[in-house]
Amino acid sequence: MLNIGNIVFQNPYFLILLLTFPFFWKYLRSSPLPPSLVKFPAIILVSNHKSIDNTPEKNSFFILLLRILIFIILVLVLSKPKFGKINHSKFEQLVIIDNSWTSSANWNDRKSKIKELLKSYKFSNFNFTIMSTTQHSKNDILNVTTNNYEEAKEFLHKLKPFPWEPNYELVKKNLKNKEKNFDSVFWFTESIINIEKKKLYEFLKQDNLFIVSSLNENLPPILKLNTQSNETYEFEITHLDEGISNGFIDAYDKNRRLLFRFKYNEKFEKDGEFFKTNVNLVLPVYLKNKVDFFQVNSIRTPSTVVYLNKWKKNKLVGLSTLNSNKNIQELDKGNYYVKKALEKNYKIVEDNLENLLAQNLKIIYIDDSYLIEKSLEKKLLTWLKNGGTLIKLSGKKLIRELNLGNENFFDFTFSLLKESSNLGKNLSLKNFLKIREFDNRSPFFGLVIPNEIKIKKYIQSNVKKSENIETLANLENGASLISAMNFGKGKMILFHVPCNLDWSNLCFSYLFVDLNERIINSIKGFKEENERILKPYLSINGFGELEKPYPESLNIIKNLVQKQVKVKYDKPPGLYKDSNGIYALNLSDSLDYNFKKFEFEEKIFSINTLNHKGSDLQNILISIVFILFILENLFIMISKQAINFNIKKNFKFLFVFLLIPTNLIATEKSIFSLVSSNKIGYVITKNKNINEINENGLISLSNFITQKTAAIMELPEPIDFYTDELYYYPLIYWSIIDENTNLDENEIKKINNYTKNGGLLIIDCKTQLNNILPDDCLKIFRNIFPLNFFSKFKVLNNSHAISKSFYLLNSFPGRRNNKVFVTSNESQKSDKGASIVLSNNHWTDSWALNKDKDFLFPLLDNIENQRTLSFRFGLNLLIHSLTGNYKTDQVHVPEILKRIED
Amino acid sequence: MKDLIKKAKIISSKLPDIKFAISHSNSLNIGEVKIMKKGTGDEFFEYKDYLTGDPLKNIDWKKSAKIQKLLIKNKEHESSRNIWFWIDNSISMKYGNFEGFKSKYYKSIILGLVLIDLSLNSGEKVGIIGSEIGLKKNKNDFVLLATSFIKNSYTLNDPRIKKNDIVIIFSDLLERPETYKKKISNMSQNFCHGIIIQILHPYELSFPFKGRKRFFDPVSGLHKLFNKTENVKEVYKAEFNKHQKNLNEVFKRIGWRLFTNITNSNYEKIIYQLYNK
Repeated sequence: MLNIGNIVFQNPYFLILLLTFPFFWKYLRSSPLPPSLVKFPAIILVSNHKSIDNTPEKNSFFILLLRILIFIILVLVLSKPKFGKINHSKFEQLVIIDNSWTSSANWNDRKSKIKELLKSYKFSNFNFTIMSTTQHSKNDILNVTTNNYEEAKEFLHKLKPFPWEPNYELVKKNLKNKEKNFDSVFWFTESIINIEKKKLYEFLKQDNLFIVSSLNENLPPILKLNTQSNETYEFEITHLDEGISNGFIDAYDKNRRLLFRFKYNEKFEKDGEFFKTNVNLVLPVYLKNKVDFFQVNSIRTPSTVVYLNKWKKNKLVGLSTLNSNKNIQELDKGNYYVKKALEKNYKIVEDNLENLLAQNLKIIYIDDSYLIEKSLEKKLLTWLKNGGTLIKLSGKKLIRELNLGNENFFDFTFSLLKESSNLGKNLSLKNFLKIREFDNRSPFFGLVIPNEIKIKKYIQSNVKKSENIETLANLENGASLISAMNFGKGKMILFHVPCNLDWSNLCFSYLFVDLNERIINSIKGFKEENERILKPYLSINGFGELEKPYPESLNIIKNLVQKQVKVKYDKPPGLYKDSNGIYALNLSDSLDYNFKKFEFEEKIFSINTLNHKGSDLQNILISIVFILFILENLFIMISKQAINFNIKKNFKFLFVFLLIPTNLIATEKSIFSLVSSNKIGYVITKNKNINEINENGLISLSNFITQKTAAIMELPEPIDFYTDELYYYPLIYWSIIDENTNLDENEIKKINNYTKNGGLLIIDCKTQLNNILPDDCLKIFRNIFPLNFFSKFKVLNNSHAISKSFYLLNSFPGRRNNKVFVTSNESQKSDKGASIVLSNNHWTDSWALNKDKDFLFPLLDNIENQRTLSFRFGLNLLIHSLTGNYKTDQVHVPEILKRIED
Repeated sequence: MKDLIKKAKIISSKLPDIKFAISHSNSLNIGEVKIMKKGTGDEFFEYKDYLTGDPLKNIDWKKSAKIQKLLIKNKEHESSRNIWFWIDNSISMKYGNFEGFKSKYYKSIILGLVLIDLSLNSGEKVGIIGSEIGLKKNKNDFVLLATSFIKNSYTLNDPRIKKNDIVIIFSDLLERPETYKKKISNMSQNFCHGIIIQILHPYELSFPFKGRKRFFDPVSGLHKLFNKTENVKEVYKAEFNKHQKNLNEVFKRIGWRLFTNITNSNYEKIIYQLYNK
């Protein structure tokens, strides 16, 4: 950069081009204007003179001057001059970007604001130090110091939120190490504070500090899984800003397919600075092993997801192989079905019983076709007494062996009747039996018994003979289906049916899987190892999604006895695995909840509100070049007599003409800023109070829209129909407060043009707050618009595109829930979308919030979820104004039907 | 055309009942206009109260009896000279219609019409050279003559011009003096007297041009490019003065008078020049 007086040249190298002027000089002079033609008959008098004028050909001085000026100014434009009281030293700017887990919800908004800030200093003599707040490696946080806009943009592009807590102490330390005095500090953060952040805040306050906040200030909720018992998951949902009693938790598989949505409506409790809601989610049995993670309210942040552990495979299950009848078909073996049922979640070891016992397994399955050799009985008993669990499937073979006296191990234990039940015979009333509901003493309590399970045969036991036998499951006639008996520390469990279709289809149902899981999980002493080394498998990113593990992440030692692992840069939340399975480390398990809400004095919402020192001369110079260029051309054309223009006479016209491009360039920026952002407009009324409510409500709605959609809404703006241009606003909210409201012709024309070109005007009648009916609003409307620009008003219902533009809605309430009228402009150029929505539902009253973020007004009608529906209606209105009748296209029907079904 | 006639009428109406200077003398040398004075001609000129000494034969007895007052009937002084008008309608005469100036042709037309009107008012016979319309002396014929004069596309040649008739020519005289001498000598077999009214644009006198300019003579098609026109000014003026001098000599030699007028001067000025000289 180069400073000359108060002018700074940001690209001073371009000034070297001025040295090339001599080369251009030749060009400028050697291309004289074509001479102006003068009709002058008397010139004949000098016709005989051949060499009166020996002056060499050259341009007129004026043209030459214009061209030289254009050349010089163009060079100056390239060198990007800026005027202002600028020191010869660079201005030092510090940008602190909070990129911890709390920033995820507003990350896009934050990035666009930072870009805006960098862009506003793009051509300035500034040096930026950009520093993130979240540690990414040992004693290091991401930061850059640059005066190059592109480099800063690149840094910002790569910067992402980290799913752990910020390290403000390290930020402070780094800043101290830099030993710089910053002229301004921009801190992009949330309105929360803890001790470390407060220290940093006090430290930064000494400089010219601006806290830049997002419009949507709400922190994401924290979803924490407290306990899990079978299909029941006990969640704790924590909000910092407000207590929210209803919402939904979604269950997804690893491919992010939504498997189940659980809507909750529970009371919240205030716990210190936080609002906590406890939710018990019961998952359908068929989904139990399919769910990989849960997410609350579809918010994608690391605090709103909970991933589940997947390490059941570490449990070894022994399956004894046949030691006889080796010619039996595979499908006739019970082992085949047991293996099918268990192999997904357990490690199966197949071997003969002797070897299995030798491996000291905790659980062994023995099929009906397997006969326990007498030589092994002792070993088996010892194993059982030491805590082993033997699961035996009974059947024809067992009965036969019992009758032959070859098998007395189970007979001794379960007092079996040595014959199968006699269902389906001539005298029996039933062909099959069903399983009785599990009572609350059963380990299988809660499992749903499918209707299709039929038991045709079973081995009965004589219960009277041994009262030590515990019946875990009964048939509907009271007979035992699954019996158990304790042996020392161990247990023997008998299924009274085999795994084949001759006797029952139990082994072919999912219930069989659940029954076995319950049995296996209840086995005592069957626990994980206390210390396991888990390697990073997948990490949760700043948006709650899984991705490759962070390069800095280390192995963790999972110790169930000790405290949970603290989430940070080297132990990021995510999935860790070892040979036995996957452990999910969730952010919510590790949070300290040591922060609280804090309103910074220096808070601003928009970068535009900042005044940067120095004014850009580039646009002014471009305007001057433009004017000079026009002048030069004008002069040439006059000289060529292409136009007959008297400069003296038409000076005023020329002056105005030359001002036009200057104004165009000057207004270009403001027009661009108006059209480049989405904002809702509201019509200023004579009632100050209503204006404030409208603004408040629309800010709240804008936040909601920014949170729920990809649209980033700016603050709403007040509009006067008479003075303001309406085209910049997709949606205009107008509260009519006077029954005798009148608009002049020009205003009506403006509204007509606005709606004709796709604008949406929301009219909310607030004339007599308690008495007015929606039909009265129609009368007022007709008084205001006597001309028939609009089609006949219709009552808004669920067939209209507004009802499905984003959410599927059946009612459109605000503070009231009256009927809503809608009409479209007859001469609308687009697809005849709604042009005017009219009612007296007082939507902004329903959206408006007080300082404590509570709703400003109670609802006057009370339909279910009225407040939520009101916000959704507002969102639908905006989307409708942007997309028109797009959602009525047949291509959307399947998706809409699916959503209705859900 | 109506505007031109109207304008000429306005100018002439402001002028007094002019007796041209040429009418003050019988000398035919100057020969401009036929003499407008009482005389012994055949045609009636005016009535006048009888004064003692007047010839009795001049008394109009009939009229006197009617009004019971002796009136002397003055007869027009009969002259054989007529006044002929001609305007140069070459392209160069169209020059000058810019920056508030009127073209040389416009100026010539107005001036010619004023003189025709004044001549008719003075009882002269007026004719347009080359026109089918013959000599006219009635005031009511002004429009007819004016129309013919304005629509002039005639060559400078008319056998009707008699000896001692007066010819008034309007031109910018930018061609070589000899050319005009030749044209005048070919005009009629009879020797006549004439007045040349040279109409020039002020720029043709002052040559005020500056800068790089290409000059174009629409008559000859001549183009002249000067990178610095200021340098040409002196040469031009010298050539112009030389040309004027030659014109004066040529016309003097054939007994014609040359009057020079510029387009931005008063119409009355040239009338008074003619009157006084």
